[in-house]
Amino acid sequence: MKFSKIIGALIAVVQLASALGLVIGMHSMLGVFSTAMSGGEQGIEIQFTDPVIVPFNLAPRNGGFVDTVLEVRIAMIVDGVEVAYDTASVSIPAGSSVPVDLELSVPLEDAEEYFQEGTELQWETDISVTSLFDLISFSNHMVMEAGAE
Amino acid sequence: MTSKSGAVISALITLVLFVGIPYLLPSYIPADLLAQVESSGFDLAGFTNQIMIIGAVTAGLTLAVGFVNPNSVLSLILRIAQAGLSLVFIVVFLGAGNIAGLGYTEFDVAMEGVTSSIAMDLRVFVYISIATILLKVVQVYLEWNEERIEAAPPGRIAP
Repeated sequence: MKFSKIIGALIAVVQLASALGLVIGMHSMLGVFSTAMSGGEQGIEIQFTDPVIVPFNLAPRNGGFVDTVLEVRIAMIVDGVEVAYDTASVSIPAGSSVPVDLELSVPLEDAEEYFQEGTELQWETDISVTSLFDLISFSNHMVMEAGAE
Repeated sequence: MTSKSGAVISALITLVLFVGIPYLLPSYIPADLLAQVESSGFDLAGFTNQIMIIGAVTAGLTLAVGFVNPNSVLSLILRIAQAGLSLVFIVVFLGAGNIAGLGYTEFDVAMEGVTSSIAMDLRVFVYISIATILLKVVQVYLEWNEERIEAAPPGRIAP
């Protein structure tokens, strides 16, 4: 067999594996990202206790064929200053769902000040999904004005 | 089938896939989805234009390869150019039209009190493609050399 044919076969195998990896990795990665985002759209029910608790419940689901890692960071920004944050990092095996529960804890006295009219309140979220043995990633940094949908 | 008719058919298929379909694609995308795509900062028109240019050049090269002497240096250059162009296509495709990103894409979206920065890292596939295209260049050279030796008159070694 000619050497050029061997190289040709090698190229075909690598290209096929690469295309397959792209499709499988993207499927898992975007699936986890979209389900994590849809969980965050359910609305925030603030618990006015002392301290005030702001819970965020995500239910990312990996419907793909390779494991993914989801990293989430949520922060509360008041007048440009970060006053509370929480982070979580979970590994989501292929075909399963892992709930991610985050909460921001703010002393009641401070919260009353933050939630009054005239203060500029923002929610900042960082969602990062890596897949295909950490070779590919998708991330979203979002800043949302309080009251925006 | 001769190499010339094969080249014409390949060039036509390339034109349909990489020029015809990208040209018609925007008209088949629902208007609301198109507006959503454009608001995300993604330059769909620029992306399809890049794909169409690469497709047209690839079709031209495919046609030219079929019509030149396969043992000539020009044939070798054209085939290497084809391989190089396929790498450009992959980089444009994975980078969503951003060649300089080499598979790393960033979009900024701002609407109704929400600003969002989206980043997608597919650089590993660009690196794999660079490796396979380098192998392809080696393969093209070896094939060209083998064809040249086979075409040489008996008893003579091709220069």
